[in-house]
Amino acid sequence: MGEASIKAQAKTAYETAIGVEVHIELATKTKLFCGCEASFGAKPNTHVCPYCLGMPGTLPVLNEKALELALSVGIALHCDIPAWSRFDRKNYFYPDNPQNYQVSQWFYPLCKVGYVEIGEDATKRIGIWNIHLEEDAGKLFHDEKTDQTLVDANRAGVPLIEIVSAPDMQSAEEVLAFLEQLRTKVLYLQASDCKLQEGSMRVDVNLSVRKAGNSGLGTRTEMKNLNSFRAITRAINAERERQIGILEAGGEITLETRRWDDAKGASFPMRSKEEAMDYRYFPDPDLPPVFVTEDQVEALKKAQPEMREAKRKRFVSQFGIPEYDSEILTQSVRLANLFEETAKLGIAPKKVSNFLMGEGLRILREKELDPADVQATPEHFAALLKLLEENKITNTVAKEVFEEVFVSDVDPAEYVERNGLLTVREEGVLRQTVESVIKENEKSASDYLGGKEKALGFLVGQTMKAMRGQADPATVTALLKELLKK
Amino acid sequence: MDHILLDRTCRLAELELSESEKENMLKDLENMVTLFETISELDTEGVAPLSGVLEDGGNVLREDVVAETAAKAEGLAAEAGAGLAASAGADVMAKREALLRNAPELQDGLFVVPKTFS
Amino acid sequence: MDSSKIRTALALSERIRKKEISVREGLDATFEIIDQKEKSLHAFLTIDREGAYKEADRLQEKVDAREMFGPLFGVPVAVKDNLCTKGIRTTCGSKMLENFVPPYDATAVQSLKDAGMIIVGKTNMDEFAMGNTTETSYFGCTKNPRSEAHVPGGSSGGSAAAVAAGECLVALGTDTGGSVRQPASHCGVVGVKPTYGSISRHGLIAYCSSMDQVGPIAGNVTDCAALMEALCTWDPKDSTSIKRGSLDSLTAVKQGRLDVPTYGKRGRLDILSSLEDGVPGMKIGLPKEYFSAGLDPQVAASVMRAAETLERHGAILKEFSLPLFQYFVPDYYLIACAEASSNLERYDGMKYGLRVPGSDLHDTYRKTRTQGFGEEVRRRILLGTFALSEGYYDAYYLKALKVRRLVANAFDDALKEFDLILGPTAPTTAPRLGEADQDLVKSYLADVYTVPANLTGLPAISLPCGVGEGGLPIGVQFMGRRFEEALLFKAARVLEKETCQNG
Repeated sequence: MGEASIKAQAKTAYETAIGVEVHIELATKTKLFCGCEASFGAKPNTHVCPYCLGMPGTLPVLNEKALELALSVGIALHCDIPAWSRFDRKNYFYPDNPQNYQVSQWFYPLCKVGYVEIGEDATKRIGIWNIHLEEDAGKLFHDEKTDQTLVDANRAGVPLIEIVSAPDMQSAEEVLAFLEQLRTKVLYLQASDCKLQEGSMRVDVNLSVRKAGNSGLGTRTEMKNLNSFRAITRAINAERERQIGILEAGGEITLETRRWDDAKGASFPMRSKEEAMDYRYFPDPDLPPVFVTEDQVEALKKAQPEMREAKRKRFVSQFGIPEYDSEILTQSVRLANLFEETAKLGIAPKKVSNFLMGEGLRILREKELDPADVQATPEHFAALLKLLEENKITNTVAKEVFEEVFVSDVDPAEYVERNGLLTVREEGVLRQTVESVIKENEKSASDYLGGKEKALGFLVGQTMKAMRGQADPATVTALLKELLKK
Repeated sequence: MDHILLDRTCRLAELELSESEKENMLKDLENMVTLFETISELDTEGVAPLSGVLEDGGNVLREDVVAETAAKAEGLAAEAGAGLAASAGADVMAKREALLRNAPELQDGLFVVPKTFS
Repeated sequence: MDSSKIRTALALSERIRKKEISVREGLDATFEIIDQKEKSLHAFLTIDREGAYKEADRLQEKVDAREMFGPLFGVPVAVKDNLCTKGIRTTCGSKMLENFVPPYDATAVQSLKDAGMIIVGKTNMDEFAMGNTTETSYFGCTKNPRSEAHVPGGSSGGSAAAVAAGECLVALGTDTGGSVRQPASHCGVVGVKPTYGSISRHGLIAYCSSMDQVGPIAGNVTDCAALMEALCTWDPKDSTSIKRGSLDSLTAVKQGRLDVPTYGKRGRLDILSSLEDGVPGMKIGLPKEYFSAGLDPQVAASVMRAAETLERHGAILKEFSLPLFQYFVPDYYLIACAEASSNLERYDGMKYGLRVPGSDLHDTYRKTRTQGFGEEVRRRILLGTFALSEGYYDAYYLKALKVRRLVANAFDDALKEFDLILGPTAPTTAPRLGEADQDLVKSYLADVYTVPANLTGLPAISLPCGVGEGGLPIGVQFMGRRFEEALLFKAARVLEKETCQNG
């Protein structure tokens, strides 16, 4: 047996247990405990106040929207909602933390045990241990020139929920499926925009391995700095290999936090065991307990917007589109809404979904856009499809205009007019172009006359090209046939 | 309370004591801890801890509305010196300036701190 | 008009409102005395003469315009230096905040301004309110106006001394373990710690969040009551602030009592209108353990005389037992130090305050904090950090919270039978300068009579009831049910009238 296959055999003898801690920035207007704007991208230290700067004598007051959004996430994840929860202080010194303690919920979190179902037909349940509210930290920047660190407190105090899963996942695929499910639910609830690259969703992975058949979990490591789904996959697979390698060589896994470096494709230890922080959690005396009544939970359950599964089924039954289409459209609540609203304006649903699944997804991919960034309004989208339906524009033109509508919500009629994109039908106008195309493509012309039908298609194509896609294909075809006969 | 514990506690509290200070502190802390430990005599089986004396209040919540910029609420915009022509941008900068006035070191509106290890 | 003869804040305000004297003249009288006494007294850390006169002129315009105002309009007031005052240096008695100028006012300070009062300056205090003599102040101790060799008490020593010396008719202090009542007792003035949550803590630089409360200090009971009324409002910026009106009636309904102070016409606390009601039928409890060995015999005698005075006026005295007495102080210090250790973490030299540069981040933290904080503060931070640390949390901090519940229950039980609990404010008269340093535990134990009000959140008042050796004042303390400050004041008023009559 070769070394590679021995190694492969060894690997399959190990089970992996993976849990995740997901931090999600809630889509509130203001921070968790003060009235500062929680939005992204402002000039440094302009979304701050004495409280989130940690100034003396300042006090926290809980944001009711943050509480509501956090509860709605907990409800969507089937969590138990206890009658009360409490804020605790997590004490540690770091410059991104103006009070040098973070207000979080350690002893009595807002939401307790729940689950997320993944896989075909929701076959596997991944447990949720708890969901709790906490403050985000500020941002640190390193100034290379002065070798100093700069602190921007704009993000300090922004509301986060931390979702702690059970170590029920066994592969990178399962982790991604879990995160995808989670993300979709949170997006549907409009509780956050969940952008991994922007940091409104952050994932830390806890991973351990054990020999198949062993009970009890192995020592785990925690991995941070996973900024994309690709990085998460790579990190999980790399860490699994690393741990198995150590165990196979007779070593032990160190309980530690590791930082993933995607460029290097490897992780490095951040803090060693000896310096394990003692956070000295204790109840925050500045905040009373948070009470949640059964009535409130019921009300939130009733107010829950239509979630993905329900919408997917409804699109099929209400709009008659195939399951496949519905599956893709409902991946993003933004696109789903765009589909629905446009179809409701009287456009054939299949036409709407075709455009979104075809051109829409292509544009998102190529331009690396988030569905949330799509600007198109149903009115403009419908107007475009109507122009196409009425043959006022060709398919080619429709695709070009669609991109403008999708990304910038231009008024299609105005855009077409302004750029002279209406389909040209007048024989008089087309005749000249057709004549020059025939002249420039003598071989194809004679091929056609010699019996090759395909040559006609080529000539039509050349004409369309010359007319920048605006010529009416039927008229062009008729003209070509007429002039070629001559 | 012993030397090791004292050292660890100093590290957590970000304090540093000289050797002689440590000796005195150790004595004081030991005396205090002895005083503290008297409460262990009491039977607190089944007693709920009382951390905040106000337990029967309801939730204290704040509407999710952006607070007036301090520049307007606390009349700091006037201090910007621009007088009548103060634009929204100047407002924001004036507010920032007032809030950061006590900072030991600033650079372009950012706090400058010793290098952190990431 | 010789405004220095005006002895009470209410009288001063009345004269001003009647235009018998100008606001400026009232202020002149204040600064005259400050200029006379401050050099030796050292009650103030910052005096804002310019700001005060500016405010006086602004207020005078209102008088001239015949606007409506309250009973303390135009009265100069001193503010303890742990309450943030916008644009005025606020040091907390510490090197750490030696040059800190807050960009905002504490709500309590705003209440003073709303009442038309004039902030004259910031008073000296034990560093970060940790101490009971004012000796831990980085800026040196304040003298006791009654005797230069003695401390004024603490931590609101500056405020109490300023009032006792006549520099100001009223002042604000803060009380976490007795820091308003005890210096009031040592200086011979009146001080109150209201029910926890009555006065906003927004802008009060935190020491122990679950116990800190702003407290008024005045030369007489009526002025103190007026100041209480001006300060006690709900504040949406403080999650531990309470809406008194609604809870007052709740409590009354729960207890089946009819005789509760009414919530005034403008939705504010009303103590003044019932102040002269007297104490007929008031049930007063005297804890046996309070009068045990360790209590100075002169203090004991003076306090008992005060109790008997109330009895003569119709109150009913009765002894009872508080066996948890010996646990008050350890319980208080455990909780206070723990919360303080967390509240003081923000002082790190990064965003404001002192910065002592070090070789790296953590060295900067350590140097800044070690040099910025005095010995007592460092001691309490270390104790508190220890009490919260892994492995010790359950046995120390959590245990202390449970004991706190026992203490609260004990007082609630007692206050079912009694309307007031009476005792000394402090076990002795003011100690000499330097005495507290000699025995740390002993000096902590001196807080035994005051800390229960902080542990339980119940209101308490201290007022003079006699003098001891060397003419040093003795204070008696009344403690009552939540929200029933009016009862405390009624009893205090009765005692005050007697004491005044007897010189």
